[in-house]
Amino acid sequence: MKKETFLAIFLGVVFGFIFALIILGSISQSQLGKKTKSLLPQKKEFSILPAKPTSLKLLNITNPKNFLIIENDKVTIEGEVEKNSLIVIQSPIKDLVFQNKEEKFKVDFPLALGENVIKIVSYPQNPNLKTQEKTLFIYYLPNEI
Amino acid sequence: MNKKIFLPFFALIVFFLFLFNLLIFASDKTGSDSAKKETQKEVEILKEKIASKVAELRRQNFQAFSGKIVEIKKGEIEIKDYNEEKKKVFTDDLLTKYYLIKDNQKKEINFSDLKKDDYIIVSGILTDKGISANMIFVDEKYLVDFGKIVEKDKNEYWLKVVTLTNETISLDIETFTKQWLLNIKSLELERTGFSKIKEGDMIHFVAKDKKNENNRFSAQKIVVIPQEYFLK
Repeated sequence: MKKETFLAIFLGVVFGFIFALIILGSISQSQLGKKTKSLLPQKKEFSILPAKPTSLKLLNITNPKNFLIIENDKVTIEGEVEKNSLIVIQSPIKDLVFQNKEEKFKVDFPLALGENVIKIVSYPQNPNLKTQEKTLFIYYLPNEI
Repeated sequence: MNKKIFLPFFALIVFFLFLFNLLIFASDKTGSDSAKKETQKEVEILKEKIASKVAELRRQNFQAFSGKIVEIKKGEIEIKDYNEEKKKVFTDDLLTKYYLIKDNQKKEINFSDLKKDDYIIVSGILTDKGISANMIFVDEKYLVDFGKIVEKDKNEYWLKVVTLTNETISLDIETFTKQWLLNIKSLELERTGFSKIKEGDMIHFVAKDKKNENNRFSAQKIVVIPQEYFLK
């Protein structure tokens, strides 16, 4: 084979490879870009509303919902109320008395089969605040859901 | 350029363009195949998420209704709930099941075992007309409340309590009544007796929602918060 033919073949191979690599590189980069975009955390929305002013906390039970059917023989009661309140939680099978160090409180409470009337009462440390109460009707009925 | 050089060079260019096309096609195919698999996987995950969310919502929203039977006839029961509101409960001979709850156990019963004034729990679907009952449980109704002790009878062992809603309730302290007193220093509950209870104390009580022969409620248990706690 002549020197020129060999040079032409060599140049053709190099040209072909460079061209193929450039195109493949650009394709893989665009795919990587898509993946990276999906992995990035989503933009959080910021509220422009002013922060809530600190006010006296009313007794609020966030969990469980009233009149709920539960399959377990215990429930987690979660709520919030004024700090350092004396909280009394009573049902026909359990009495619980404690003081909440933080506004939020969370306690596990046992349930009896059938209807559980749970009375939650908070006595605020501040004597100017009124005693508050909530009543929950929770039904422990296993295998009924 | 020499014809001898140009021809192989042109052939090579064509060959590599063909090779390049093949590579592009292969990468596209692999890409679209993996994209398909990825989409399928995402769809599966989404399906699972929707199914678990639906189950969770169902669990979170599966409610029961309870009340005292005021009227009963075949296929239809009328109950009065805690709000004194009347609700209709529809039963089905084949679908509705009946149970009695006693001592934390349930026992299957029949429709014919239900009677007026029974306290029942109904699980089922609420419609505009009423509740289509899947299950009906006969249960005990309890009164769980609290208030201030305004009167104490040392001879007959009863207490008069005024609740937060200004309702006056008379409570008999029976021999079986479990009596607890809050230790205001440790905030622990301690066993107590009738003699330690004072007028002015707060009382939390549980009683069966049926008055006894003295026209008072028999307390199952009481928790007393001494008035001294509020003077701290």
